[in-house]
Order: sequence, then structure tokens, then C-alpha cells
Amino acid sequence: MSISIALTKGRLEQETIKILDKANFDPSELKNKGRKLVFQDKTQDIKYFLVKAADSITYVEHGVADLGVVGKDTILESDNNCYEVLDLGVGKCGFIVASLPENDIFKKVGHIKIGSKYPKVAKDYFKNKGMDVEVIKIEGSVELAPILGLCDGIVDIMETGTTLKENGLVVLDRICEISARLIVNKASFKMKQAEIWEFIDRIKKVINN
Amino acid sequence: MSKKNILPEGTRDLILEECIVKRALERDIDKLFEKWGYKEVITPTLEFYETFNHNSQTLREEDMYKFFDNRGRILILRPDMTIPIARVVETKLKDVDLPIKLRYTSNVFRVHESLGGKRNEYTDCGVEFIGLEDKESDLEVLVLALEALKKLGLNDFKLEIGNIGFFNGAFKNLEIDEEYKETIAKFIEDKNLKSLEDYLANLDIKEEYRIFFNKLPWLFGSKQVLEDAKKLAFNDDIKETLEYLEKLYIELEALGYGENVTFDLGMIPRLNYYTGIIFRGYGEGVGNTLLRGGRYDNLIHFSKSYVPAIGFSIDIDSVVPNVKFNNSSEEVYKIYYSQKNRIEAIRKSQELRNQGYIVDLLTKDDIDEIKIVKGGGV
Repeated sequence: MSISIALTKGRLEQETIKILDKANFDPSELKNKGRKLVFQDKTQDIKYFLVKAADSITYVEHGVADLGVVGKDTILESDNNCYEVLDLGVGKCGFIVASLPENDIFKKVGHIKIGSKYPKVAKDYFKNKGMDVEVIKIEGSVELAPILGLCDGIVDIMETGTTLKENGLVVLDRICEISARLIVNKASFKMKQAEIWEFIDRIKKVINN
Repeated sequence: MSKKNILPEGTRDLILEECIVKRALERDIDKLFEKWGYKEVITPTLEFYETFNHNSQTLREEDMYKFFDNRGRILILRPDMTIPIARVVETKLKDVDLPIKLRYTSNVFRVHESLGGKRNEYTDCGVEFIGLEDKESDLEVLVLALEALKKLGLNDFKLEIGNIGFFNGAFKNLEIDEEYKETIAKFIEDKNLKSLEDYLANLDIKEEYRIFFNKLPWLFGSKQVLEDAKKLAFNDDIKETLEYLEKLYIELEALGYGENVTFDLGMIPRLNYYTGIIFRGYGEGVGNTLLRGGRYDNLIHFSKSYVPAIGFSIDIDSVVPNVKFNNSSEEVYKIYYSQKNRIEAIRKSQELRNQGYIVDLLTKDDIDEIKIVKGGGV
């Protein structure tokens, strides 16, 4: 039976292609893709699509794609119902809490506002800490928000920390580590077990080396 | 004032073919349940929130549609049918001889995340078998589930069986706090290997157990997994569970269902709810779980003790797009008539209806005699 895989466009794309290559799949169509969005593996019955991270989860959840490659950040922010079977070990970064040094939110008395592109992650984190905060959704350049006084602190992804440092923000806590994950539709895993199992096995061999 | 011609999110109108297919499926499944001796129950669409808000209920508050009655009490649109049936049995059937076999075809309601493309109202067809222990009723219910899946007309389907006792039995040996249990169960249920591994690595447990729990999510597939699991079994509870599943398999195989039965020992949903076997049905081309069921011996409570029960339900709507519409125009007649001969036309139509045909009456001004045409669809 044919299987289909929803890959995340952008940052993770190249890393994923490298892994597929090493596992002896044929993602050559993905390398010179032009404007195409659906790609056929030339050596086996696999279809790849390139989609945005959050959409990868949606496609897999509905079973339109059997598997998906997506960052843990997106998984945490979604309310999904898929199996998360492998850590691909690429696209590594972390979720952090940061604020201006003079405004440590863990010491602040009174109402706290947190800016984030990831409101669910932010809410869950503070809920676990037993803190009641107001989360404000920000679409990009989250570092700007505390500087301009829109909020006290931020919850964001950090790769190297350069952007934070350049904007004078300090990391107060590291929430969790993030990397690309392989997710599987629950029904597909059961109906196409042999095919999916083989795919996972080959990928596993590559990432364990 | 303008009329609002749109539907609330997650709901939809079903028309023509979709409707025919859905009703046909419902009827087939309902008929099957009836033939197995299950009696139908109809319960209100509305219930009190309190009925659903008890500790073994894992639905979140925000997953239910809520509103107030005229005295300010919280009402909900029922999110499933098992709880209402448990309520009916506890209150109205408490003096009836056990076992009780009940069936239903009902719409249930869940609030899903916005714009996720999921249905918030869908039809569940299901049964509940109340009053007998596992060994006395599991097999029958599994066979009925398989027969129901067969009725859906899918190219291929699988009924996957697990047992909550497998995880619970193994967890006993860990000698760690119950609070870890749910987290570990969740990771195993979601086959979230990485998180499970990291979580177990931080717990102070024997290496043997760590390996066992890390393997659990992978213990699914054909009957072979029962053999594999036996090698890992480290206490009698686990062994017993495996032997029980093996026995069920042998019986199902003898009945001719071997091909369609698989196992997933890492299936552990709703830890506080299920108490024995759990099972799910999957079909070729259907992206979600289309049948769910299991044993719940701690839900229905009579004055002195709990009453064992098992049941399952089928999400009919998820199958509808996969069913080919079979339009037979053989049973349909169209009768064209004018004002002059309408009495004759209606008489004739009744005659044909009594013979079992569908008759569509249509007026046509310019004809002198009624015209009867066979076929053409509805």
C-alpha cells in the first residue's frame, strides 16, 4: 500500500531530505522542486508533500497523510491526536522564558503579562508553575514586546540566544527541548503497519548512527 | 432583518445521497444489534452537566456544549451515550434481571478545536452489555463488533484488541507513586517514544521494568505480539492478561475472524474508566478510529456494588464518505398527471406503493392521460 508523508517546509526541509537520502529513499524530486507541492519517491511507493508545520499535523490527523515531520514546538502548541514515534534529532532548539533583567517575572508582584507566538505552551508552563498570567498572542519578533512594554516577559523558541542578547533580554528558565519529530496517523499505523514500520525502521537506523 | 443562513461550526446538513447512505448504514447496524438481542434505548439529547462530571470521566469541561436551564443549572448536549445508559440502568432498570443488553443510535456532541475540520455533532451506533463478567461476555461483544465492521462495506478492516490489565499489572511492580501512572500511560497511549524514554530515565525503577515500558508502545500487530510480550512478562498479572487475550484470539480465529483481529498492548486510554479489554476498529481509507469500546466494570453502580459491563460504539459519519452510493432506480415509479385525472393518478400511485414501490407524483398540464414511468431515481 502506498504511504504519504507531510513534510514541514522551510528550516526542517533540508534536514529531513538529508535523512531520507541516507535511509535510501529517493527525495530527488524534493530537491529540485520548482512550484510543485506533491512529490513521488522514484524508488518506492511513497508520496511527499511540503506544507507548513501546523498543517503537517492537520493532514496527519485527518489521515490524508499517513506520516508527518514536524517540530516539537508545533506539536506542543497543537491539540493533536497522533502518534509521535521518533525524535529525528534535527532542528534542535528550546522553549525559554525571558524578560528584561530589571523585570524578573518570577519575582514580580501583581498582574503579569506574557507575550508569545505559542500561547498554549506559555499557558501550560505557567499553569504548571502555579502562576496565573495573562498571555498575549504575538505573531513575530516577540522580543520587541517586553522592550516596548506590551508585556513583562516572553515565551519563545531559542536556538543560539543571539537575538535575545542583542535586545537585552535574559533567559529566566528553559521550558523544554525541541527537535523535529516523526508523527503517525493512528488509523494508518494500524492499517498500513508493514509499510510504516519499514519506513520508521530505516529512518531509525540513520538517526541512531 | 437579515436571516443568518450559516451553520454553527462543526455541524453540517446532510442531503440526498449522503443522507441515504448514512441512514442505510444506521439501519444495517441497528438491525444487526437487534438480531443479537439488544434492546433499543432513546435518551434525551440534554443532560445535566453533573451526570457527566464525575471522576472516571476524562472529557474536559470545555469539550462539552453547555448552557443553563431556567433555574440556572448547567445542562450539556450529551458528549457520549455510555454515561446516559449507565444513568438509565442505575435508575430505571435496577430491578431487572441481569444481564441487560442495550443498543442505541444517537447523535452526540463534542466541541472540537476551531477550524480543525472535525465534526462537533456525529452519530454513534453502539451497544452496552451489562451485568456479566469478562469471561462471560467479552467474546460475544467482540464478535458483534467484528460483524458490525463487516456491515460497513469497507475493503479491509481491523479490530484491534488491548487490555488495560496489561499496563496496570505491570505498573504494580514499579513501586512508584500513582501520580506517575497517568503520565506514563499517556506517553504509551500516544506512542510518544521520546518523551516516554526521557521520563522513565528520570524515575528510580529497575532496568528490567524500564525496558518493558519502553517496549510497550511497540507491542502491536498480529498475534505474534502476544508471544513477544510473554518473553517480557515479569509477573503473574501480566501473564494472565496475555493468556486471556490469547484465548480470545483462538476463539475468534475458530469463528473465522483471525484475519481481522490484531493487538495493541500499548493501548491504554482513559485509565480510570476501562477495567479490562479495550478495542478499536479501523477501516481502509478511514483516517480516524471508527469503532471504540471496552470493558468498564466500575461505572454502573447498584446499591451494593458495581455492575460489570462492556460496550462499544461506531462513528457512522466517518464511514459515510467511503461507501459507494448504490442507486437502484428499479423500485421507483414516476406518475405524471394533470388536473383532469388527479384522482386516478393518486389511486394508481397508492396501488403501486402497496406493492412496495416508491412513487413520485408529478403534475404536467398538457397531458390527457396519466403517464407512468418506471425508474429514474428519486
